[in-house]
Amino acid sequence: MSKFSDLNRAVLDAIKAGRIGQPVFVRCLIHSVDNSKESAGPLAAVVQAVQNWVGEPVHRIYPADSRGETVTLAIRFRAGASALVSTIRSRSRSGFDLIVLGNHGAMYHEGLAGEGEGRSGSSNIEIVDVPPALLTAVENAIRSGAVQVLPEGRP
Amino acid sequence: MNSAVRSKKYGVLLVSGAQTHQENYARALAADPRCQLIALTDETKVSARRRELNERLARELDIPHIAELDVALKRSDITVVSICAEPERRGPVIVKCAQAGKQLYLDKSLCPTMGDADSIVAVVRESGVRSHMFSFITQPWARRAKESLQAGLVGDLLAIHADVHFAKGRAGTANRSTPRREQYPPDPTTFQRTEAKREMDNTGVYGVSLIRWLAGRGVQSVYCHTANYFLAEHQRNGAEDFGLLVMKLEGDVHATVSSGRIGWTSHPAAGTNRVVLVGTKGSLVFDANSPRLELYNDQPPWTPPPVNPEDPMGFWSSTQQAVHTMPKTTWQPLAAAASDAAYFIDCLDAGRDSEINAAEAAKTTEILLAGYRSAATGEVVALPLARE
Repeated sequence: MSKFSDLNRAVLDAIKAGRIGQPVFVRCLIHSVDNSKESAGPLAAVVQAVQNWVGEPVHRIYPADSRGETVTLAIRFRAGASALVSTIRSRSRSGFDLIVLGNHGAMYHEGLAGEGEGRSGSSNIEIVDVPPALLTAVENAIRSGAVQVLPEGRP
Repeated sequence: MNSAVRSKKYGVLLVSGAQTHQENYARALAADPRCQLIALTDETKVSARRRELNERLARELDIPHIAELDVALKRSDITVVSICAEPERRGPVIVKCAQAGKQLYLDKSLCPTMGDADSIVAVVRESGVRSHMFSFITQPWARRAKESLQAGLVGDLLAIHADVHFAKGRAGTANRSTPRREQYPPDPTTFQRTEAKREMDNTGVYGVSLIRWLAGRGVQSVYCHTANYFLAEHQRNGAEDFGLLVMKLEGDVHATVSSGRIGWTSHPAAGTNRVVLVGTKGSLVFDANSPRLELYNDQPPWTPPPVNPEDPMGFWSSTQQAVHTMPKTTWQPLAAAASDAAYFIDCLDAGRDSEINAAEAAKTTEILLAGYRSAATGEVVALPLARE
């Protein structure tokens, strides 16, 4: 099983190489067999990665659902890009399903493509270098269920 | 009525012609041995251009063009009306056809205002006619999703995520330095123009109707973001090319939809059309492009068509043929697409309602309009919407 850091690096490399233009939308489904109640840390780490991909600071976070089994964050970035990031607790499969739409192209990572049992894909999110303000915003969104608006500047 | 005991074919009247989805619907209905195309008509107030396009499709289909809708609706040999009038004309046309007692085959989305939607629902209920809005629910992958849900394969439903992306249009032309400011209520005339459609409505309607059909639950609130990410044509016509919609459903279920027109070269096929079911037992992905064959060969690679000024986004079959749009052949889904028109005729034969009848389609309209309101205000919008 590969690590999220590998996927993150591959996506960043493709973006830096200008393969899809400016990223404007990200759909990320994180399937995890991790049974721990703690979801904010890994989620914030993915949001931080998405923020780096789109190259814009997070502006608003709307928690569509914040139950333990599944969490979805709708994210709007300051210059208008957007993302849907969901964690899905799984009994048997781990992996990432990713769509990155750019204004000149797109990237797809079908870590869980297909019906029924999927292939195992990238997992293992390393929680490193997540800015405290971003982590706090994700934690507050999950805990309160309310929209979080981040201040100007990169969290 | 059972087809075995029905002696006559369903006579079909077409409302609006070329450069609408009627190009596809008419041919799908004509291909059904239970149907016979009778005539093509429209309102008398249509533009000269619309009338010429109507006459063009009537000629191609070798059926008469009747200039007045009211006259056409008096014909007793017409049972079904396929309606593809522009969104801002759609509501009154549908009402008139229902009042004439005709069964309604409806383009998507139903209409752009709640006033129109409520009128349609009321007259369909009063007249007792059958109705159906074009949707994804008849497609094999959507049916498999429904069957899996009903069989309890994901356990209790927790969430549904749908992505509906159309890989058409020349991306990279939108000016991203001026982020979209959504307006509410949306101008009905911006839903479908020559250059652009409102894509959260036009493509998002598939995701929203699919989610409601799968979940079988009401929607309590909507949060939405619309954008101009890709296409200058949409930007200059006041139409979003992308939308992100989050819904809270009854029973503590949440759902998300991403929808839009993302550019010709941003997908190996026609675009991502998929739904992810999340439940207490696990999750399942159902995708229009999966399972598939992937074909690679020494034939010339796919390239986008030249821009057709009559239809730069590739909305219509005829305008794509006119510029010799190449088919994308690398991905070949194993399951053939099902006929939405045949599904409606099945409903008529069986004397049952469509699962996406006018009342259900109106619910989808309400969710999409709530989305536009949320996008305009930045706030979560509770349903039902207050009536003016």
